[in-house]
Amino acid sequence: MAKPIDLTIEIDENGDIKVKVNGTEGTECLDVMSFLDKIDSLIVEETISTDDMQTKEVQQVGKQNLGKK
Amino acid sequence: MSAYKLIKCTIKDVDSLIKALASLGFDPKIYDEPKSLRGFLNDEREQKAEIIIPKEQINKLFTKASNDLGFTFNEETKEYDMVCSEYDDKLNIPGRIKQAYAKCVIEEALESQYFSVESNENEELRQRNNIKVQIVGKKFI
Repeated sequence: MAKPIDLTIEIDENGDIKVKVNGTEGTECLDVMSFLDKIDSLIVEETISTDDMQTKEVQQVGKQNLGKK
Repeated sequence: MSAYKLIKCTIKDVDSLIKALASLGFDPKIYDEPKSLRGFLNDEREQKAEIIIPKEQINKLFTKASNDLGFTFNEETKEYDMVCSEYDDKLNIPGRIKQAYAKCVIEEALESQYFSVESNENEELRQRNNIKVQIVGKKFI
């Protein structure tokens, strides 16, 4: 089922950009933001994961391992 | 929220640059060959550029004693270098232009990804310095 997501982009007075994603789970946010990496004028300096993303990754790995056993 | 990106913006696309300048109220002159910039006393400067915002436009919108501001294409980096006087630099005119350019580029990218786009920018904010522009893109996945 489709779910709503949003990107909040702040551009400061020097033209530096900060992008946040809301509404995604785990590593989904990286896919949602990946189009930004392909824009010629933009140089992605840092992608920072939050605790939420790391937790989801651990949970997914945990599930996979459980399934194999 | 799961992650965020920190991004720097460089001026590479001339169409987005012209659009960004128009959003600030500028109507730049575009030349095939670089032309000299003028100083605030109407003196000819040694710096040259292909895209020039005449000082009168900057004076009218932002400052009182600006110089021409220009953009020249750098063949090495494939970017437009901004040629700006110290006076206008101190008033952060380059920052405002880079901010407007980044906004244009980001909005175009969001629309190409089928996001609906909203921003906090309005005429009142446009007249003020040192503001943060916020854009929100929404869609269903």
